[in-house]
Amino acid sequence: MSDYTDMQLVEGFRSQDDHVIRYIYQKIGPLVRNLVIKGGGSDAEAEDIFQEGLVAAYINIKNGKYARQQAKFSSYLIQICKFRWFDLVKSSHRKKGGVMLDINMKDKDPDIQFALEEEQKHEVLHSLIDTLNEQCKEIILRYYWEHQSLSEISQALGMAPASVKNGKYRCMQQLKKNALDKKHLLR
Amino acid sequence: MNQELFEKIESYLLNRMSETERSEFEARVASDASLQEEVITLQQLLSGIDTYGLKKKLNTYHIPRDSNTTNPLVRRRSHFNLLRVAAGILILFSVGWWYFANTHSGNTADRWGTVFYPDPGLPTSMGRTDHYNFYDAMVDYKNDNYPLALQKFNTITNGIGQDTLTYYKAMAHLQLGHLKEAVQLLNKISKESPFYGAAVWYKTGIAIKEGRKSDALKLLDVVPDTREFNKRQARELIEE
Repeated sequence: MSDYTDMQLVEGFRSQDDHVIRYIYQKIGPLVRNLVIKGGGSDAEAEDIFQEGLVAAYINIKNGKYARQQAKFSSYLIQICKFRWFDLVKSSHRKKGGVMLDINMKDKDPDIQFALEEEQKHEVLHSLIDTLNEQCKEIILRYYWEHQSLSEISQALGMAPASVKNGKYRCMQQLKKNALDKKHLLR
Repeated sequence: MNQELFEKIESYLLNRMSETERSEFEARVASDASLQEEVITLQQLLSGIDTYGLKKKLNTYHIPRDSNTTNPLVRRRSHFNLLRVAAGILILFSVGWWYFANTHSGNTADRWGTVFYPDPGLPTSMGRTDHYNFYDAMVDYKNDNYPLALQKFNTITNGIGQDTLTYYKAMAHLQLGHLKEAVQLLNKISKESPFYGAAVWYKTGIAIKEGRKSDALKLLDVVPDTREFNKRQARELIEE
């Protein structure tokens, strides 16, 4: 497995490169699992914390907040996961079976706080996307995430290009309506 | 919102407008609060779809199982002595290598190349069609075919972040010895960019190469302290 420079990691992760994601899981994942397990958490919780931390880091890479600080990507990600884990422990009032994290809440960077809050809002959005019908999900993921063209999508789904275009509009209107109903959770 | 307006906002957010369309649209948004609201909402939805996709992808990966992490104390103790020996050997080796590298280093030009080694380029994944041209050029860059990489970089107008493109154009120029062009491009990279640290690092290298010692020192102060940027060695080069 080849090593990446910090910049390659960040840029690769920004473009959701599979090799880079695998590398991050193999190199940084075990450090986060260790942290959660020492804190009395389970393997499944470690996986969740790591995934949520990755999404939060991704949000701050995309919005430019990551670039404002000078930490290495791995330290940044671990820091995010630490705070996420801390928040979870605090909110679930679990019995403190594990070692307390050596964490100073004053160190909690406002940008990290922002990313964690955004990540929670994204989870709300994800649950709304899940309520769309399968065809809607296919269309919007192919178009906005995989960046396929209307004609590629129409071929893959066996629909006329115009139906894909209109369908995309309708699905997004539906998603928007769902989101406005949950506005209080998204602000 | 009607479909026409939706598609307009969409093409704005997906960066598909021409310069003129974009500035016209932005002027409209600036004077229309409800349109502003619509843009923000759609932007939120699109970024939610993006992380939904990301999560779908992340679900296929798992942290590798390592008995070390499930029962750290037991494992660590049994390997403790072995680890200590291994660490000792490693330290001896690296100190030795460091000593060797620092006392037997070649001339200044060689050392410049070692300290400011070329940016290795980005991982080239061809999966994402919108970045295809960029990664195609990146393959040439990584194969040290800088003239061809540059030629291809120069034809790309969208599909990749402007800073990413500017930075790698500068890197290709630098490898071809076009110092002036490289500096001009690196100067375009703003403080907010993820490439800013690296841009300042290579600007420091160019200043050293051109014998501008005080510029080099000033630039070096701005370079972030990370592993990639060997500031100590750069300082030694300046002081020589």
